[in-house]
Amino acid sequence: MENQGTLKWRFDVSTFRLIGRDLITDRITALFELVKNSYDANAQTVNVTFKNVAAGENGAVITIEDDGFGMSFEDIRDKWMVIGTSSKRKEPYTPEPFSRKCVGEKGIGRFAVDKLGDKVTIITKKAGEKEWLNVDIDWTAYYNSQNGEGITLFTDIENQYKFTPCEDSNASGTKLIVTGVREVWTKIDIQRFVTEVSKIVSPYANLNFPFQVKVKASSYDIDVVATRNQNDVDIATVSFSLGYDNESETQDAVHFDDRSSTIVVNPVPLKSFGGIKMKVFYFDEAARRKYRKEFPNNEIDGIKIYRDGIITTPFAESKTKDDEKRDVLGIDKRVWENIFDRVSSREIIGIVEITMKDNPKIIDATNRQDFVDNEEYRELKRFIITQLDAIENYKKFARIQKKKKSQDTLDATGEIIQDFITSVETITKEKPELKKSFEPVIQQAKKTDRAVKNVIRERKEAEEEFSRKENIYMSIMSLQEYAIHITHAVRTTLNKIRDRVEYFKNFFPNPDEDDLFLEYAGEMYDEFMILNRVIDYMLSYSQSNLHPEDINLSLTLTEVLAGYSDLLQSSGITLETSLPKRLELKNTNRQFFRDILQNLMDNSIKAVKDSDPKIIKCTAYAEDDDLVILVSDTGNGIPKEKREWVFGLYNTTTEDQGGAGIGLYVVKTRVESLKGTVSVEDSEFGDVGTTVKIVLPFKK
Amino acid sequence: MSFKVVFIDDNMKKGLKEPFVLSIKKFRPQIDASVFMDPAEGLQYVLDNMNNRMIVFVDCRFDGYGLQGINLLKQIREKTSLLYIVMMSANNLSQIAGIDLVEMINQDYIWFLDRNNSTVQDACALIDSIAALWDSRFDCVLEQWLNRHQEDKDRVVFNQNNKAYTWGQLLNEVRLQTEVGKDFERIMNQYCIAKFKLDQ
Repeated sequence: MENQGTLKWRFDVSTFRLIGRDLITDRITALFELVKNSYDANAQTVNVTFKNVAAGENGAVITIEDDGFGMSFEDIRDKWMVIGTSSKRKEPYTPEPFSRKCVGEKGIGRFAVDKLGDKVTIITKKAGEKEWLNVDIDWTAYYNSQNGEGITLFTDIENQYKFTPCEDSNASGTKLIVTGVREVWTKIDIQRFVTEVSKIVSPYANLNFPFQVKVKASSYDIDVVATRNQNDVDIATVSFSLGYDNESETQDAVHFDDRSSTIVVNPVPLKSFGGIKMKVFYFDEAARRKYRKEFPNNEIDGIKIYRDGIITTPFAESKTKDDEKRDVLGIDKRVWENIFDRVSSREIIGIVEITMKDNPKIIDATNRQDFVDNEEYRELKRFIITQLDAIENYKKFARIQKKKKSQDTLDATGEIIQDFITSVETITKEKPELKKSFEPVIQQAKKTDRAVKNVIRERKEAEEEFSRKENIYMSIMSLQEYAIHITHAVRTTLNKIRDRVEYFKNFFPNPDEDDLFLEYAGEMYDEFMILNRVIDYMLSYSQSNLHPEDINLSLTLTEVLAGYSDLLQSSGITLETSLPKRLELKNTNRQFFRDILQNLMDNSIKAVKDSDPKIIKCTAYAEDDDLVILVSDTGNGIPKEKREWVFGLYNTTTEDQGGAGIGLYVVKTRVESLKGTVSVEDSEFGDVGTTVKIVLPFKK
Repeated sequence: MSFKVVFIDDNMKKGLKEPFVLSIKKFRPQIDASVFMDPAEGLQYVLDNMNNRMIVFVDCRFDGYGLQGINLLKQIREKTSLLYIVMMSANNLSQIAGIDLVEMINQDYIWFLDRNNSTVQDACALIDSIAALWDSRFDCVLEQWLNRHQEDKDRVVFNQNNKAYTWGQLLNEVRLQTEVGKDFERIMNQYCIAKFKLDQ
């Protein structure tokens, strides 16, 4: 082998750009990728050093140095510089005795250095080799080549390498020196990186070979060990820990036991996503204060998922503002459902441990920001959220206990004052000569008694007000879900209108196409009408009649059906109803039930137009903890393959009769905002017609 | 030269009444356009017409359908790489699931069209750039030639390492970029240049 020469990349421009700049979403993620590479190289210590990176400083350098097993010349040539090398996939574990699960599976982390700076020097060596290999890569050469005319092949760019002598042939490791750093790193940037690195290795993973990351930034006097250990999270108010057993095919799950007032673990059958370990620590307000004091650099920031001991998601969330962080598991989304009892990610630290072996169906998304959306991942999310119910019930219990305690104290104070007044009055009765002396004391005690009674009354009023507000918040649909529904609806309609306007712009006038222009004009009008309906639907969320109230459901449904009596009669449609005489629902939305039934009735009336007989049937009944509503008709039915499809926006089977595909969409969103489900079932009339089934859980 | 452009999108109008498609057709009259709202029907049409030059515009998301854009891409790619596929989406690359994206990169040519911010002209420009590539890719040229010369498909034309390869097998080797495939492609290119020079 020559002692020095040149090396070439083996991929093309577009691939490089895709991998280097698009997949690595930001600098912190890029740096994080390099730390993960060190982990894969069996490093135990990684030193990340920032020099002269502050504004106004010159010659910025970022160094990532590890004591891992390093790379040989062949490793660099045949693996490091070849995109998508599968060596890590063929050997999913790092060499013995560490046997760590490789985390840079897709082999793209190395391209992260491009995100950090224009030039990088790699200094690396395997144990036993006598020289350090130095490779210089200048990314600007690649971009210059790309911008030039003609050649765009990366294979034509040469990278210099040389060997330098070493003192200790047993030493090994890799050092990346990034220069030409394009952007200033602020103190906050580096602190955010420290925060991300602090989560890299689960403090609960059984690591026989600990992994430590030190971060130094002389510009800001930062010199910290970023990785943390289990003691860091030992100040929680309550916690639980779950495991699983493949032999008995069971998974631990928790619930809050009202009788014993404790969180209880029970085994349930293994779920589709495979067994998981899970630890959750809940911090009440006092515990949160303590945590913030002890770990000013770390936040209480929700549940993280670790695969084989390494964090997978949410990955490197580098947003400073809490509101901008993504809510991958949907924990904070739920807070809007019940702002008082739901736990938010700012109150819990949780660790979910999954493995490649036992959870193969949970698949990393390439952007490292989430998992691939499949049924198993959805069930995993549901499972995690369900476990939080135990903490929420504990929270509710603690709130009631606290309220009761302070109420008891107030009541006791009132009684003590009353006893005192009675005692003094008894004494003055027995010894009237003391009455004059005691009079000011009695008056003062009576005054205090009145004040205490006032406090008790005001407190009661405040509680009623609180309860009223609580009901309002509980009734509002998740704002995020709402925003997604609305933007999707508006965007789809606007795109359709835009396409038609563009056609007019490009081709109008054309006498040969007058009919077509007229058709498009009509469609644009229809789309605007649809947009109006969507906007009405948006506005319905601001209506005052959406405030929660107690309703007699039978009466509400009967009122809606009564509104159709003339139309049903003139169309020859028979309406059958089976509603309980009295069905009271607490804190619900009368308007939602009206919307649901009206839309279903409208659909059924359209569906039975050409049928014989024409029957619509409306049934409501309680079943276990659910309210079930069925609306059936003898109409033309919905084909089995379209039973889910019909609930999508603008999806309709009655286009010919003016159906715009909004009705069932409204039904679905209304039912979902009442925390229920809606589906098209086999018709209760047999071979003809449709039955729509709505299941709503009774609120406890 | 005429070629097919197929649009598979559940939000488009049936037939050739969709203004987006009609506009493209007016700006590029040489194309033979078809629209499918049902992804399964669209896929079937594409698979039935694989021997034609074709660009397929596929919506990434189909509300209420089992088949999604990525499934269509995979199923088409299993059969041929002659077809060029344009995924239409409001999402950007980073929102596409990891394994899907890796599969796309590892597969052949794939484009994206952002339907929220692109005009008809953007779509036409994309069609032009795809059509320009059409005539230059070795495997595409070879496959088209074989479609016209079915009788040659099983004829042995190349030997390497004591193994004989037919035209059909060579096409497969080129697609898979095996050593044999790469060697053959290189030899053919060198041969063409040499022949061109001689002819001059």
